[in-house]
Amino acid sequence: MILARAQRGDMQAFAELYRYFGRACFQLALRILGQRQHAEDMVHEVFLKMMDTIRSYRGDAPFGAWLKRLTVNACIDQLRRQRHPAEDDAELAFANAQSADAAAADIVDTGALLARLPPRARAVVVLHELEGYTHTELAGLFQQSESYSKSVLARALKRLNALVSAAPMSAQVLPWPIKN
Amino acid sequence: MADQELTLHEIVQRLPLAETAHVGADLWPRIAAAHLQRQRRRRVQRVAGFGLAAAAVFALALAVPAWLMKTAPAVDWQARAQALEVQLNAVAARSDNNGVVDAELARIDAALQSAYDRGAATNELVPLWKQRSDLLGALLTARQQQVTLTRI
Repeated sequence: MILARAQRGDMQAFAELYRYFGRACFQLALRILGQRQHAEDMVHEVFLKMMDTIRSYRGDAPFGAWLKRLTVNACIDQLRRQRHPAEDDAELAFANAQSADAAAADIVDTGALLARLPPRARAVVVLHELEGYTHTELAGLFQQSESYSKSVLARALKRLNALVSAAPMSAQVLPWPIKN
Repeated sequence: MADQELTLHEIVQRLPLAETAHVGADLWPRIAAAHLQRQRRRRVQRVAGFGLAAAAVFALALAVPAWLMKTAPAVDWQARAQALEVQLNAVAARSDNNGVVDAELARIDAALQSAYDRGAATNELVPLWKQRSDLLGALLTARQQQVTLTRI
């Protein structure tokens, strides 16, 4: 009902969709991009795009999944626009990132934990470990090889392990669940 | 070494979301305003595009007929009338003492003569030659079909 109204361009319906999905969209963008302002900009961009393209939504997948896909694609585009040559090399990307030891005690929430990773590594971790993306899908999104994605993920998990070991909660990070 | 082994998913589930993970209250009004502004801009662009297209069609509608008139070969009504007269003479004349046609032909010839005498411009002569040509053409057709021309 709301979707049908939104597809007719009803602003009230768009507002309701924002109430339902705005926060989830923001949190996903925040986890991938790591900065509140960037995440808000992303929500802005994603909802404008959604309002432009909702007529093409045929209901093949749940609307939330469709919107999530829009959000992920927009975030990856953003990361690719900010692309730094060093990030194409997994090893260099981690070498340039902050030390794992620095301020481990500051890790009091998810954002603080993921913020310790280089931008692309954070995106790979979030999408693979939390959103269930496969390495094949990540390779397509980042226009890199699957081995790049696997290498980034392995290094990121190692970094997170080091951080969590140093943090008060003391736990080891393992990939979850096992995917290709 | 870690006391326990947790997956990243479990860790993330245990770690609270940052307090900053709330969307700014003014975000939706900004999105809605941007959307409406874009819609307005597109509407203006559509109207402007339609206006331009309509203006182009109107200009074409004006220009094309003028261009066609300019480029269409002008009919030499004088030569045509003379040729028809030759053809008319070649067709065996029935006893068509047609007073109406003769009077009309005489009227046109008089008008032509008068126009030439006055040194009239082409735009005055051409219609007279066209009238003469049409009349002769009708007369020729009538003779060929062996009917009597009663009205022009």
